[in-house]
Order: sequence, then C-alpha cells, then structure tokens
Amino acid sequence: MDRVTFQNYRCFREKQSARLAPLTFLVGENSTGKTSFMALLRALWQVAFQERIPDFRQPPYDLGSFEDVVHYRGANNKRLDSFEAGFKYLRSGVSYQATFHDHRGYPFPSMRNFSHQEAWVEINDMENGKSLVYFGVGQEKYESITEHYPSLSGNGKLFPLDIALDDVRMEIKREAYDKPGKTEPAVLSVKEEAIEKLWKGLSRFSPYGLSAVEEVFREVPHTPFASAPIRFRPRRTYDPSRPAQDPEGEYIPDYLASMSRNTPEQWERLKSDLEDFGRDSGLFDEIAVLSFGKTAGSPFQVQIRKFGKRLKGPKRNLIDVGYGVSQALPILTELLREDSPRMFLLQQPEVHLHPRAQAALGSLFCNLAASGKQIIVETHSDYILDRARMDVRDGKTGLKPDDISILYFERDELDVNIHSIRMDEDGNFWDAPPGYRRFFSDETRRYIGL
Amino acid sequence: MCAIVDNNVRDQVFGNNRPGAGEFFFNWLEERGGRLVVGGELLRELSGYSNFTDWLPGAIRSGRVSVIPDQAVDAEAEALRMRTPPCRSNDEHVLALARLSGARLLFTNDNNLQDDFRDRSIVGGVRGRIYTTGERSDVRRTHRDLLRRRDLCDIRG
Repeated sequence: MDRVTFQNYRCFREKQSARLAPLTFLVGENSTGKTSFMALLRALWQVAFQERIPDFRQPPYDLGSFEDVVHYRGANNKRLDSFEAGFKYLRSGVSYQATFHDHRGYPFPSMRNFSHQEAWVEINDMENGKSLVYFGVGQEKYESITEHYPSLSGNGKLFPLDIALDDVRMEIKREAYDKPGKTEPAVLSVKEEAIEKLWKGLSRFSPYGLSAVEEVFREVPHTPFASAPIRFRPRRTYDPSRPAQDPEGEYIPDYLASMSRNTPEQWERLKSDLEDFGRDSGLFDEIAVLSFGKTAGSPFQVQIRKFGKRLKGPKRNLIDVGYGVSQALPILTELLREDSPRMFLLQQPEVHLHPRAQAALGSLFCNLAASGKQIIVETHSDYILDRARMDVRDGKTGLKPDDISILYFERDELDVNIHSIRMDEDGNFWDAPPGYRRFFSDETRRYIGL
Repeated sequence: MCAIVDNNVRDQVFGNNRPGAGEFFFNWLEERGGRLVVGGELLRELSGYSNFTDWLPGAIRSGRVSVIPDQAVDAEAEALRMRTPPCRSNDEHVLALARLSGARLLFTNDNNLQDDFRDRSIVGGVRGRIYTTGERSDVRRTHRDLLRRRDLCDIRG
C-alpha cells in the first residue's frame, strides 16, 4: 500500500491522507490514534484481499463496536452513521475505497469500490439480499443489480467483487446475444467494452484470478503480522503443542522448537539470522532449543548465551535473562522467518530493549524494508528513528529517503491530524509542523537553561 | 526558512545571557519554523560549545536543523579558497555551506564575511541577507523583517 485515506474514523474527523512507504514510522503522543491507524490498515486488508467483514476487535486491537469506531463529534452532535477508508497502489494504479455502516453493532463495508487505472466497479450491498453494482471506465457509468452472496448472513464473507462483476458481465452478454434471432455483433458495445476491461483488471487483482498486477497480488497469500505492544511472558519449560500465531508471540517457543526438530536446515538459517541480530543488539550471541527427550512430545527450553572475548558464557533459559530477549523474540522471528508475510504492523517493538538493541532494530527494519517488506512501526524510540535516518543517509541498506515515511499524529482538541514528514538524502527531516516534538524541545531548553 | 549562524555569535543564540536579537533568533528556530544549516568546519567549531551540542540532536530530530555532509562542505570550501579574486573573509567554510544548502540568511557580526555573503558571485543565485547584532543587539524591525521572509532557503546558484 502506498497511500491510505480515511475520514470520520475514531479520533480522525477530517479526511486524512497518509503516505505509506516500505518503512513507515507512526509517531506522536499517547492516545493520538496510532493504534487505530494500524487497526484500520488490517481491516482494509481483510476487506480488500480476504473479502471478509473486517474484525475491529481481533487482537491485538480491540476498537469496540461500530459506535466506538466511528468518529464522535461531541455531545451536541449526532453520532455519524458511516466512515470511509481506502488505499492506493500508485505504481499499478489500483485503488480501493470502502464505506462502513453500522450492521448489528459492527462496522460493515456496505460500499466497496475497486478501480484499476480508469476502470472501476462499485458494490453497494442492500438489505433485500441484492447488490447494486455500478461500473464504468472513466466518466462512463453503468448500473446493474445482482443477487449477492451471503455477505450479511453472518459467515463473515463479503460478496467478492470479481464474482459480482462476473454476474453483471454474464447478464450483459445474455442481454446482447440471447434474444431470439439476434446474432453476435462484430463490434462490442461501449458497455461491453467497459465490463471486459474492468473484468481483466479485476481478475488480476483477485486471488482467484491472474497475477499481472504483481505488486498487489503478492499481498494476497499472507495476512499482515500485527504484534501486540506487550509480548509473551517466558516459561521455564514448554510442552510441545501446535504453534498457533498470536499477537503476543506465545507460540514462538513452540514454533522455534518445531522448526529445529522438523526442518533443521530452515532452523539453521533462522538461527543464524537471529544470532546476527543478537550480536548487533548485544542481546545474545547464540540461541538454541534444548529438548529434554528424544520424542517430538518431549518438553523443551529456549536458551540463549553470550560470548566473552575468550570464553563462551553458559547457556541460559529465556526466563533467566532480562525481559528484553523474550519481548523482542516474537517480532524478530516473524520478521526473519522465510515464509514471513510482506506487511508488518508493529506496536512499540522497543519495549524493554536497551537503546543499543533499539538502534539495531532500526537497522533491521531498514534491511528488511529494502528487501521488499512493508514495515509499519508505531514507536516512541528516538534510537530506532535515528538509526533508520543514519542508515539511509549513509547508504547502508539501499533504502532511499522516499522509502521512509514518518507520520506524525498530532492532537488538535478532540480531533487528530496526521502530518507527513519527509527525509532528504542527507537524512534531514522536512515539513515537520511546529508542534512536532514540542515536548522534547521544551525539555531541552529547560535542561540547558535557555 | 534556512539560516546559518556564524561561530562568532554562537553565544548570542545559544548562550545563557543572550541579547534580545539573539533570543529572538533562537525563538524563531524553536517556535516559528526557522531552520538552521550546519556542516563541515562550522559544525566542528560550533560543537565546541556545550549548549549547542546539547541542543543539536533534538533539533535534528525535530527537523529544525539540516546537516550538510562534512566532505561536501570541506570540498566546496577548498574550491572557494582557490578562487580568484579571493574572498575578503577567511570563512570559506561558511560560504561553502550557503552554496551547498541554498541558505541565504546569515547571522554574523564579521564585516568581511558579511560582504562576501552579500556577493552573488561568491554565494551564487540570490545575494545573501545578514542578521547582525554588530550595531544594535536589541530586536529591531530589520530583525523581524528578515525572519519573516520565506525566500531565503534552498537557493541554488
């Protein structure tokens, strides 16, 4: 995703347009909507790529019911009855817009609009079990009504855009050719041309279709990884169980143990990457899984150790070392595993980490963003931002200034606005509003007596 | 708007007993969208002043300072030293910074440097403007007018 737009959502009253880059930092004071922004990204992903009703209460986010999600304009104003959100892929010309209404207490995307270059289709779900479908190319606009799939029936699935469009397409063909005595015309009507053009663009977008819009299509197989701000509490010993992903990373020890036992080559590569980061960050030099038996069901421990200049230290259980390692491990594992998703939504990955490790995280984010991941980080860490700034300036990773976006969330009375701060090739920040880092500035002035 | 602060007035901007015009300049940097440009020899000189070094990291993070790479500034200054006719001042490193950054506002009380900075053949593009406390250190209308201007940034020769 290159740009996200939304309005009347949570604390955002005005229309917001935020640039997303391979590496995007969300900064600002507490309660300024950074987590809501992350939740919206995942919700849009669920609507567009999984074609299902988004769950705004799915961990690690819990935004509540529709009335908690839609913007509240104060006691004297009625609560709004809808909010809008969408995203764009600038290079491939794909954009997606949705309008959410209250449906049994949860936000339901009753209008969805997909466009690919100048062709577009819009579905409006109606309460009578039908969908009103508009489509067109450029200024041309056509309308059709089709039976929709059970998008409102509680199975969580939306009426897929490509199926809706295919229904409309078939209807148009029937209208054109099925009448008695009518022969297939040599030239397609404008309406038919429009639907064919749209159909081609959409089937590339859809997971069921072709993958010509590569940039978009590679999003589809993997759900973004969304981490919680607080990660799992380590245990002394684990009994193997089936690793099921969760935002706190409770599954990580099982995942590591399973990989070390079942796919040792893959484990060695991940172990090596984890240890590279461990050395850069000062957290550990070696990570290992110690099994207390020979069977797959044997209990195990996750251990780490530090190396001195001449001697290697003892292997220590994860629970016996500082909290930093266990807090960082879920994020590191997800970022470095070979089958990791492309998009990451990380909340305060710096929690419990020493500044050295925070800085190392900054470098890791730059490296991974340069290799094709899209990493969105909500952070209060100057060390992460400083390191990213320096790595880009010094050309350490191949990440360019435009590959970093800093979104500053600024509260203005009851509303919040997002400011985009850009970086130049020397690592200098531009377009920061006057309120940006005001607290830090005031503290420094007081500190040096100015 | 971008400005350069000469080392000879650093205590007037970042010192604890600043004159009115120096404090006005600092407040412009901190609160009114001002931007300081540093790099090369000037940055090394200013870095000897603890109040400045305490202030600098936060100002960089806030987007109130642009740092131009030392290597580029030093090379540009060296080229200016080879120039004919030579500069009147011996502050080629400050003039080099102006040329590279496009900043055309300079806070200095050095008369020779003021002449060089106003010389379009040296800084290139638009002639530079001078913010000075050489004659009056209280806030004058000229000080206010200079810091209100929005056309003294990112000028290339």
